[in-house]
Amino acid sequence: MGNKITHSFSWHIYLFAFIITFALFGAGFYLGAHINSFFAEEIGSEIQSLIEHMHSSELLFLLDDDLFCPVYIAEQKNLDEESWSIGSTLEFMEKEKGYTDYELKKRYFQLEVRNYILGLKAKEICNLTTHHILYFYSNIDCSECREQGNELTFLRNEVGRQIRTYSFDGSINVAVVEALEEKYNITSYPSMIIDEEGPYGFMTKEELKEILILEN
Amino acid sequence: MQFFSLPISIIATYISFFIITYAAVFLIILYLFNREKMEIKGKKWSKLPFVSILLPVYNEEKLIKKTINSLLSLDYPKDKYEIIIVDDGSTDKTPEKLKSFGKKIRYIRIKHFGNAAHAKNVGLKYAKGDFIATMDSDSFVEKDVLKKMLSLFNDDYVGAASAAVKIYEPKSFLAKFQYIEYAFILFLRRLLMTADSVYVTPGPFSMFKKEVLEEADGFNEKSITEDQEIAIHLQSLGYRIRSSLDAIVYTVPPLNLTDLIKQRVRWLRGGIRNRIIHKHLYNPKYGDFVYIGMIMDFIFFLPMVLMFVVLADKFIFNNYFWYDKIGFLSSWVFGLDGLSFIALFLIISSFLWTLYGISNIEIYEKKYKNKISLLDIALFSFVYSYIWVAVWLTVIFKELTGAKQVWETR
Repeated sequence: MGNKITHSFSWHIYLFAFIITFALFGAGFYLGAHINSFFAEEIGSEIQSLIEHMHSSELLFLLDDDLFCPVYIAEQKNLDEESWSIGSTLEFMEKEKGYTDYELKKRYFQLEVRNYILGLKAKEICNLTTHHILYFYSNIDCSECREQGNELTFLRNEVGRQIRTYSFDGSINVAVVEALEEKYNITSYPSMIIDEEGPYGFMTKEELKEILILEN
Repeated sequence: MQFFSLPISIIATYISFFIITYAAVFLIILYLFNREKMEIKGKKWSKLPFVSILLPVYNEEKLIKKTINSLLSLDYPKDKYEIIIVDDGSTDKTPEKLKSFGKKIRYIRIKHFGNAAHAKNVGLKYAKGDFIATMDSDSFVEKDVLKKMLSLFNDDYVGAASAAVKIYEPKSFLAKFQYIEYAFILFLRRLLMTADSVYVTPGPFSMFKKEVLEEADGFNEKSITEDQEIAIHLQSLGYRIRSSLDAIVYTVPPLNLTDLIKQRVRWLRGGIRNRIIHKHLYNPKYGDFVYIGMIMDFIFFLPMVLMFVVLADKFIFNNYFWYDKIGFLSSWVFGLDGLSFIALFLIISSFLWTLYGISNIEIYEKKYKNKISLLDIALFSFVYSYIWVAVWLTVIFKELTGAKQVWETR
């Protein structure tokens, strides 16, 4: 019978490995946080530049100028696309990365409200056929909200810019959002105001299309 | 102001990442501390011992002649070794082919039992050698393998040794991947040897002291991966297992994906069984072997599977949507976060680590050196691991549904 070994425990290797793994994660988080705040700043300045762009339309509107309609129509396409992209990015960062910047969201909702009001006025004055949907959701205890968000995206992808959607997170306190909720009597999520009518609860893309066509 | 509200999927991914990173870093640290111990000063035998080579076969008419011819041409005195072939009731032309070798081999035919451990145990009863070498019927040895293997028994603690198993003539991508994998496993096994934590003595030409095998009551017939079970058993008995770098044996790999996955599923399920058979080894007194031999296999791959499932779930059911909303490129760019950097680190380091491991092994073998390219190694690092995810998912499914385990020759 041969000699037997006693198994030893190289604790220093386990410890070293733990420290290095921990340090790697620390570095990863640090870089990740930097990237997040970098993107947040980028989005912040995009919102700022959109607001500045809106000023010209707003001013023309207030002056009751004949140029309002052509300027609004020319600028609206770009404004709408960019605002949609900012909204999606904020949503992506929140849902996929667990990163929420309330200050940024607040500014974004303010932008949307201005965009909405201007849109309604333009629809009236310039005889536009655009439909405006206000969409109120909550990130807390709302299983249908994600679905509703998806349905609205499908609708937008299908119908295009004929439809303008403005989404508002009701779970965070922003004065303008609260004012809108009060005005339209929003008590639950998801809720939608379609061309100033409603509130409507969850609706599929097809149901939404039906309502919009009926109104035409 | 920033605020973190993390969904379960993100938390699961982070934990999985941490575990995988830890397991990977552990091996690198182990290497940095122990690399010098990987070199073994071989023993020079003044009087060569008698060796019995056990070869269990079942329906191996295609390769058996080549296998036996390679054993017959070993550079070792003819009166110092015997070849014992245990035929597990083959129904093809294997018996005829074996009989053509006449007295050069010892041929034992048993009733079909469907278990390699049983066939090896039968052979063990007839073996006259002080050392027992096992062999697989789809493998071929280099001439000097026996002498090189014996040199590894250089102290009294050594109970067994494994050869450097390589893939025979890798041509297809799948064979090349396995070639790289085997070379890397060889590197890893020699690393684990430095912590007395080798947990497999592969079928193709592993060698044992006969008295040690007898102390272990031979191979465990309840196991479908008896070559792993015996190694774990020997570790529990306190024997050291050596791993050779230059005692080369070639083996023919599964050449299509289905066979490969089948083989790996068998290995893993056998591995789970072996850990259950030896559950008493989950005990701190077995030192590094507890983590390396009993846990590491699972800690490496289960989180990988978990992460795969979480990511697949996100991609298939939710995430694809973001490409739609904000465009593929920007969702990718915005998706960058702490995890991305750790993932990047893991990907790059796994590539470099594989490259390093392979080159460490390849220095000793020039035969295939030019046939394996950097591209092959890169593809191996980035693509091949997904085969393991498929294997694990199959294993989990089969374990949960209680599918029967069967022994196959490869």
